[in-house]
Amino acid sequence: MMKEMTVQQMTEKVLNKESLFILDVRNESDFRDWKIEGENFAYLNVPYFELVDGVDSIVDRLPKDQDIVVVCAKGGSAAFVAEQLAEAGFDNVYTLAGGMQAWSEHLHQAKVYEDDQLKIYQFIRVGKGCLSYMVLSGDEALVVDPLRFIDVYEQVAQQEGVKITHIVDSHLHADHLSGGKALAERTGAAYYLMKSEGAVFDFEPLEQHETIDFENVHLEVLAVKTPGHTPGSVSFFVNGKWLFSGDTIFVGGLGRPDLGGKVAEWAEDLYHTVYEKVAAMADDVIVLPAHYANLDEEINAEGYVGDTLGRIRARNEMMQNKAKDEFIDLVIQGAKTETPPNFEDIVAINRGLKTVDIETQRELEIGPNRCALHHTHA
Amino acid sequence: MIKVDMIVDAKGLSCPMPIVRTKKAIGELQSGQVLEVQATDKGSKADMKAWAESTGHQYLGTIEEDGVLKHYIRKSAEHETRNEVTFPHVVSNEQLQEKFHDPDSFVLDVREPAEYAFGHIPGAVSIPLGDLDSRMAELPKDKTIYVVCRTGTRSDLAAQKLAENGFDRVRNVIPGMSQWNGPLDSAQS
Repeated sequence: MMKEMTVQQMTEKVLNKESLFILDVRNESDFRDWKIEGENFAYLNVPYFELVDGVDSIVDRLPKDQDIVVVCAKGGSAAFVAEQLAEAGFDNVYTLAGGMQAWSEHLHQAKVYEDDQLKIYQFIRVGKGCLSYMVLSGDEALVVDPLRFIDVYEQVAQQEGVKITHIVDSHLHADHLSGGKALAERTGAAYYLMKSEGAVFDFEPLEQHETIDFENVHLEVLAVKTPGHTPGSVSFFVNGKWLFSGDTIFVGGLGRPDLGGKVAEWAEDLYHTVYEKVAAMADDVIVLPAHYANLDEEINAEGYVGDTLGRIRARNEMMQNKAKDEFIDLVIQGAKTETPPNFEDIVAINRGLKTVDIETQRELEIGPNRCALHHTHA
Repeated sequence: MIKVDMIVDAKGLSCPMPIVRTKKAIGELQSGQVLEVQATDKGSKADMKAWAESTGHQYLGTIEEDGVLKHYIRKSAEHETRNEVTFPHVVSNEQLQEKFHDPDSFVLDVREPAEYAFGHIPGAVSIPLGDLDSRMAELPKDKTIYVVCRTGTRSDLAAQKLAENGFDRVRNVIPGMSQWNGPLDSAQS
């Protein structure tokens, strides 16, 4: 029987900065595109099809005194290679159960805050860099930017004895599939998003809600109302303390527009967000973004991705008294030209214009941590 | 239907099995023969391409039909890399690009049907080298015949054969489809 490592165990190794040897047997372009990132991980990439006749060619390049995890797309090829390594005398070999597919779909639950009245959980999609949240109070819960793995949120709600009553999306995601609609259908919760984002199913337009209140939660919808165009992205400010910043402010910097065409408008929105809405906020407000770029750098001592507004401001010149024109120029300069893979399909699905089976959903989302590419380090 | 020399059924199997079976089948083929691999594992496409690249076999393309991926692979032929071209009348790809739509021109593609299917010069007629003897009567004697293959080697053999059989306006196209920048027709996407 082969030894397996679960994606949960792998996540622990990443978070604890353990050392590990990854033998990735996917083809070279897949490995170049994305892999399991760990600060103290070592890697060897040899496609499984070069090992069909045996592993002699790589045994000298593998450690004997360290755990080796064989990784492939779904698990089959890794098992095929790991068996041969076991026969060759390696007793320190594991396979990653479910492969990169399982890795891409795993959510790690971290606690952001807890007191008698309120609890906040962050869900870290370690394989892809996406963050979603649950805010629990009394008998109810709010989910922010849910991913398509809605079982996870439902299970937590069940364990905590709460009902999911509110779901918010900070913007129409272009890099991953939203779980908002499906979760709303299953729980009966109200689902809020910006009408301007073009969704075709029934939802609560955020344009008509300045606040959302339930139990001990008071959520302010921070939308920049700019004449001439409708904003796409909003932030949520909860109880004057937590800023769910969506794609506007990250731990590592400001968001970068990613869909082209509307860069100038987006930059202006971002300016108003930063200098009107956020500038008035206290330094001890905690920023909880929808993405991260580098887990090792952005995760804090408490084990979640987030930082105080004061520290983010101090690190980021773009947030320090920039004139509007200069700010907009800098954002435009920093705009990225590449779009997330499959973004047209993903946007169409998130708008409700298109439905696809689970296999296609996986395919559309599979791949690297590109949702975090829109950080600017200016 | 694309004519092939062998079909491997790897439907319902997940990796590594499609590649394991492909590898075994390729071992049983002659150089230059074409294999069709039927698979349902979506990941097999990228892997098939990468595997062919690493082993030197020629990945021709993939067609998806009713949820089944059909991959086409041509076993590498060592003599093709030597590029011994002996037929004296040759033209370059660029010269053919100017000529191929002339009414006086006849483009003969002597590659395997699967290679032809994944991209050929518009109007080119497909007769694989192996079928040339039996189908020579289909060719016109009053036109200039431009013989094309992937690298110029098979077309060299074909051009010699045609010349021996009384075709006196034959040109071998060098290097051929591997470097073709002109328009392409494809029966398959």
